[in-house]
Amino acid sequence: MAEQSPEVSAPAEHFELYIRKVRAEIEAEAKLRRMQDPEIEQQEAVIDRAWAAVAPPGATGPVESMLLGRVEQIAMVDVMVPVGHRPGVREVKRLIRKISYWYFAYIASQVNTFHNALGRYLRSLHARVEALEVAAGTASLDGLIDAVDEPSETVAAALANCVTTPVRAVVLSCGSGRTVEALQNVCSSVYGIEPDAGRLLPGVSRGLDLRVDDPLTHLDVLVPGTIDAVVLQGFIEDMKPDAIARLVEMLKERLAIGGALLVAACDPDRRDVVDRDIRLGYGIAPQTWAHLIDRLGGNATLLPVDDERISAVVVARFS
Amino acid sequence: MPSEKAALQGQTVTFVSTRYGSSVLGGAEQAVRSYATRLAADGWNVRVLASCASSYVTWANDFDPGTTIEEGVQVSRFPTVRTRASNFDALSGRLFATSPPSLDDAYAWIDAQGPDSPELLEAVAAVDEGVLYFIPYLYQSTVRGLQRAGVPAVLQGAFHHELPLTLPIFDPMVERADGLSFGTRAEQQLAHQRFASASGKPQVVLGLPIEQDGPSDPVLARHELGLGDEPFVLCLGRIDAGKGVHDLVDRFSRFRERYGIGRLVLAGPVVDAPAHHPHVTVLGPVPSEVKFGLLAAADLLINPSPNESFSMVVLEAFLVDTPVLVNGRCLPLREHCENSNGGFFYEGVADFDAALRRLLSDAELRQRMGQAGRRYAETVFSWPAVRTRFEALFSRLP
Repeated sequence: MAEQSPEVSAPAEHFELYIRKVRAEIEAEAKLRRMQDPEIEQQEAVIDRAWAAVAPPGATGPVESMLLGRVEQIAMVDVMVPVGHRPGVREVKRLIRKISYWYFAYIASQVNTFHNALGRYLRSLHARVEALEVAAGTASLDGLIDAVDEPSETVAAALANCVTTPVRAVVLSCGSGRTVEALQNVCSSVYGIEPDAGRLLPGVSRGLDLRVDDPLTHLDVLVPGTIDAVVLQGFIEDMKPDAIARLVEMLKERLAIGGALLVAACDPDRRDVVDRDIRLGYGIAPQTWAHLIDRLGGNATLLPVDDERISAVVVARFS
Repeated sequence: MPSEKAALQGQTVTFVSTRYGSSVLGGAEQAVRSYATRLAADGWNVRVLASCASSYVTWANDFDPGTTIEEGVQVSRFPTVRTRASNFDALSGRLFATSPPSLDDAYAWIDAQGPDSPELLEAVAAVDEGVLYFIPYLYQSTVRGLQRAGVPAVLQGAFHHELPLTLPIFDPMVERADGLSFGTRAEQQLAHQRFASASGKPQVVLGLPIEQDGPSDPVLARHELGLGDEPFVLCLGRIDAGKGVHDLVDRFSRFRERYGIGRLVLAGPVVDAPAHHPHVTVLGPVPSEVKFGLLAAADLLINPSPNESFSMVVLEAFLVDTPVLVNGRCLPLREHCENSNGGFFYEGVADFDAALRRLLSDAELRQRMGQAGRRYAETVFSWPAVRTRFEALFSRLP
């Protein structure tokens, strides 16, 4: 049962802030339950499908569309401030309104017309970008493909063997933390980044330092020179070669001097039929990784691994 | 409560409605009656033009044609010349399967939609003073009537997400209107998305006037309805799967199994009975005299409906200090909660459980939220507040 807070008795203006806090607490509790109970996700998926079946046309849509709707809602300027009807006050308000109404109504009308035009332009732009994505085949593959398997224990051990001195390391898209666990014994500190909160829960319960974040976003905000080793796995198999090249360039700037880049990437030829078809054009073989790193000024070597998916791990350093 | 006289006393307004009368069911029609009777009581010259039909399904002439005075309002009814065609649904199916439908096909569809009353349209064209006020958008009387309007015209569309909203005939209709009024901000937003001409027009988010028209004695209501002393959460309205009630019973059953607290009471006409559950009580229809008492007795009101255009019941709960928990996928319901701080909304299972648990476990939070809800309902939807917005809109018309 929730504790009563003294803030609940606060004046009305503070009450709004308190209600926002309660809403945030409710959302946090709901988020935690979704992480702890996989059944909730299934139940909510059923509700989403049921909603999609009964929702009136136009009432459902992608997140971007809902966001645009929210922007339009907030952008609307309404000069009709709700007013009460207490005798006396009403007359004063009416006088003020009469004096100022025409002016503000005119201004609000201009602003609203501008917002409306902007909103319509953004919607049109959104539709065109969506059409372009479809035409270019870069639309999201969400829901069509399974997440990339986490590297096996053999690969994790091979990655750990590449680290010869105690270093600070990060594993990007760490899954349940198998690689982080293997690196714990050889690194001075190591943590993992995983965008899927559900995947990392088993590792968190084993006491590993695993954090929910997008790998690229995390790299983007990483202070240069603070990490000695970066392990790439999983998410790189859903990237095209040009995006991988940009990632390597970014890593050159982020790694400490003499730092190591370790890559555990599946050889596309070793994918099963479905994976090979759907991920066509995504991900590159370890040999291609090594070639690309060499061309971008690094020094890469391949260490063969006895694994079904990954033929070799790539170890690279940048001078 | 004695009515305060309006600033625009003497203003003439003619409502154009598909149907009119105290026995006529329908949100838009009830809104017209609510506005018309109150404005007339405040000294406005109010007239209503409507068909003789009481059913939008048949458009049969149930009322006598002619002019009467009803609750202070001059009501003129005109006969329809045809009932709705038996193949109307098939016609609709064909029209909406065409993308985009032609303007001619769309006009043929709105004529078939009805009410088809040439005399009503002639009466609209004959109005030569004051303001014409059309409500709602989806009928021939509004689409064709607005074209014939010879005085400034206001459109209260009661727009919501539905296939007909995409028809091209509604663009010139909105273009022709001199002013727009909306039930909620969500509706206004929808109109701005759909109609390029909407944003520059004089407009207000009008809403509906709300008042407590019965006693709010919780003890009496509990006694009359045999509810005992046990706390409960209430769902008041039509008991129907389409109103989200079955979904609510399902959610509540799971909640009850998980946390072991709460009782759900369903009150309203039973259209589609939900599955039996030991902690769910189905009261069926309740007498109007105990409605506010029942709302006051409840710990909170839950409105699970996914498709409400305004929701009087949420505001009625607020009037007796009862907080609400609503389906967040329904934008007008969500809007009431966000604007008032008198309610929470949910979409999934986990947030429903968390919000309900929080509300049931914190009596003081419920009390403060209920009070916040009442302030909102009284400030924004009291008749004087709604009338003020009427006046502001009318003062900006050409």
